[in-house]
Amino acid sequence: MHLINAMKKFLFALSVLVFCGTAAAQDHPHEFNLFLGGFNSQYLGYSVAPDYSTDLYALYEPQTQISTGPVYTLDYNYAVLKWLSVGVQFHYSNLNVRTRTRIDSSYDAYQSSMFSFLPEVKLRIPSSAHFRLYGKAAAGMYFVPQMAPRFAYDLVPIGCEWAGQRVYGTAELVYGNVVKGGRIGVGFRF
Amino acid sequence: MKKILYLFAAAVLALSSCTKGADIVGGYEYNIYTPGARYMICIADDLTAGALQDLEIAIDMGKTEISWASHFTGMEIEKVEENVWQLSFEGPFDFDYQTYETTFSMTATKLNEEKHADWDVVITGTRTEREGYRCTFESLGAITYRALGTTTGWDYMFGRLSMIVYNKDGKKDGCMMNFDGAPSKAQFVRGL
Repeated sequence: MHLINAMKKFLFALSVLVFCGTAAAQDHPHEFNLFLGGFNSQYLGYSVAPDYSTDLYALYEPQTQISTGPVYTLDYNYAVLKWLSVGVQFHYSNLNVRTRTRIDSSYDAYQSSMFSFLPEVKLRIPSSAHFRLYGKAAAGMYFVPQMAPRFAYDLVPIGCEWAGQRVYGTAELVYGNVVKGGRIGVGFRF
Repeated sequence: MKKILYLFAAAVLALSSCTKGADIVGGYEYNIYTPGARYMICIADDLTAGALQDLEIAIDMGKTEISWASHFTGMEIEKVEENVWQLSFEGPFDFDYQTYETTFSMTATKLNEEKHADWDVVITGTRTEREGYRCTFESLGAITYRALGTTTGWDYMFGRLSMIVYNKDGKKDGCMMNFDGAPSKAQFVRGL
């Protein structure tokens, strides 16, 4: 009997949390988030690990190494259901590109930029009104001038929003080939 | 008298500049310690001097083929005349642990009667590598290997080695190594 009562209380509390956590999405279906995230160029497919082989390919083919600053991420989402939003993610970052040709130990260095465009889905997890949890998955393409576009993906196993319903802080863990690690930002819902 | 001395000095300078100009025409000279130069040293040292070393062992043993475990296992040796041997090899060969199919044919002329002798070598060969890269190499005239009293190896080389590099699109580069004694005195030119 005690167990049934406890289960009932738990389910009630859970439904309240779900309602509170998704009410904001229902009332204000549009949201913008601006993030600043860590970035590691080694996840970009253009970077080539140094090849020190004594063979002609390693001597004559330029080897590219890319280092970057932080990645700026802007995403927009629209709540189609209380627990589900769909949207799009944009990334931008400065790149320092360095190519090296070993045959004559020559280097070439230049500045470039990376842009990416990734449609995404965002799933809300039952949580409280002032602390909301979610997960995201996005896939698309990234672009670096003078290089072929490449497939990009961005997975957020867990992210959180805190403070207000309209303006809030947000942070998320990220695993992808454009951003890896985490990012933090602010969001606006309307 | 002064005029004669000036004329003599001018003539010496002119001659020395002519000699320099006749070195290697065209291309760009690079440091001997660049990886490109290292590649050509692999041809001159690991491959050519290595084959010479096995040739001396084979002569000593009276063999006509490198039948023992060696980088040159299978290399055929033919004595074509007194103090002249013809060597031919086809098989995988290492340049700094990078193994690729390599073929070469070499004429080695013994220059003295020492067991570890000085040699004149004329070599021509090819090496086929990954991603469509390959090269042909040949000595321009003979390359002289001087032992200078050492018991193994040849510390001094004189002569020229040429290499043409190809990739899928055709000729990629032309390189030349000019040996003039100690390895540090060699000259590496590419872009020919």
